[in-house]
Amino acid sequence: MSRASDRTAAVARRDRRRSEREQHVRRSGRSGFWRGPVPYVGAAAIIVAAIGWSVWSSRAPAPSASAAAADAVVPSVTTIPADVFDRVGTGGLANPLRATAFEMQRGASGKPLVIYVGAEYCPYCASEKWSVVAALARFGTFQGLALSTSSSTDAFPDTPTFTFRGASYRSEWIEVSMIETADRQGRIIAQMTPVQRAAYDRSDPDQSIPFLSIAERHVQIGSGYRPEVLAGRMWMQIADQMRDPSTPLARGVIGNANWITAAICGQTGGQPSNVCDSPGVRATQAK
Amino acid sequence: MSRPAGAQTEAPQRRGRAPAPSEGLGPERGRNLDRAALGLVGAGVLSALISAYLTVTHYAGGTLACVNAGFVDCDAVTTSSYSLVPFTEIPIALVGVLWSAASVAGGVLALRSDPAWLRPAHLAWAGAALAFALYLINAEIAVIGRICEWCTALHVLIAATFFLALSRMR
Repeated sequence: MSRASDRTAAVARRDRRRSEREQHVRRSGRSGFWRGPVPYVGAAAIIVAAIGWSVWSSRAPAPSASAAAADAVVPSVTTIPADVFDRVGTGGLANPLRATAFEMQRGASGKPLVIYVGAEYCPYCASEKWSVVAALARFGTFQGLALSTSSSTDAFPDTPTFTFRGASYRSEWIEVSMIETADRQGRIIAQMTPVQRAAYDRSDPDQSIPFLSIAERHVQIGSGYRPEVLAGRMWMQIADQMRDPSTPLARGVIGNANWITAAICGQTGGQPSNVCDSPGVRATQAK
Repeated sequence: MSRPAGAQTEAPQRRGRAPAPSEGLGPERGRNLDRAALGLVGAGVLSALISAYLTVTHYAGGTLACVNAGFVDCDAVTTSSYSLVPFTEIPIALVGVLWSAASVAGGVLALRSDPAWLRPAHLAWAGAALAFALYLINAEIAVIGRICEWCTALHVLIAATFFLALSRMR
């Protein structure tokens, strides 16, 4: 009985509160606005407009690369000042490379062999290549490096990057074997060499790209940083921000490049010393 | 001189719809309010379950049960920096769990005592989540170029929560 009366009293209290609230609302004159369609229509309109704006901005035309742009971008990315690498250090990134138990792989010249396997359409390859180019440029020189974008229909569409198709690399310390297996549309454009295939099969059982092998002693599968830091930027804007250690972009691209540099230094016997003994590379060894 | 037939029938209808002084306080009004509050609890529970699943998968390093092909690609979305609270390594899904738990609590409170501050507070709570969801939707569509069905389900539940909270302001 007492439970029932308690419940009745609770219901009465709730109804009284509602009554008071309704009266308050009516007195305050808010009811007209809240009872009408305006709040619903307004909220729905904001939601539709926001999503429509997102769809509209996603349809921006893909940036187009020109030889003139490459002439400005490539020298900028391949001559990042040492103090930028030093100031970024790891960039807050955990080591994106995994050590293996394999013997050091050497190229035909006897130097440690660095292998890159990727594809032009692949957005994660697109981001990884900014770091790979910056890191490898500390050990040697590129020829024929051109600009490209990742696929327009994949994740992180039209991410500005480089293509290694038709590019070559020379170094006193390392040998580099790089391949783009498919173009922006995903069409096969090249087959891996037996050496590339063997390293790829051994260290990348999931067969994913990008794949980076540092003499098979360290491998990196996937991008070392998140590609969205490049979103909405053109090549030259990326190249400029890479030189500013305070930017998230530099921390991602250069931090990843320092990890790659350190892994290469581990195979070259610490040569060249001006690179391998630099604070930026040493910062990775402290981790 | 005679009045149009429509006008003759319209006026009584209008009068019939006009709220009586005590309307909104009776049993019919109470049941409507309860349905909205029940909806808030339901939407909150569902979003808590989805958020918890995303959080557990994040920390366990597992694979989400979802499509990873074409425009729907959970991996691309849930491994992007937008899946983390800015400048931290905390998954946004964990924030979703907390938000959902609070929303469920608000719904339960609405069913039990429904204090006056609850309705605007719940609306503000849902509005903030909706604004953040729109930011994430923009990241998915305009930056990542992919959407994740679990995230989309959460966004729909957040929108539903917002409209339910809005309906309780009437």
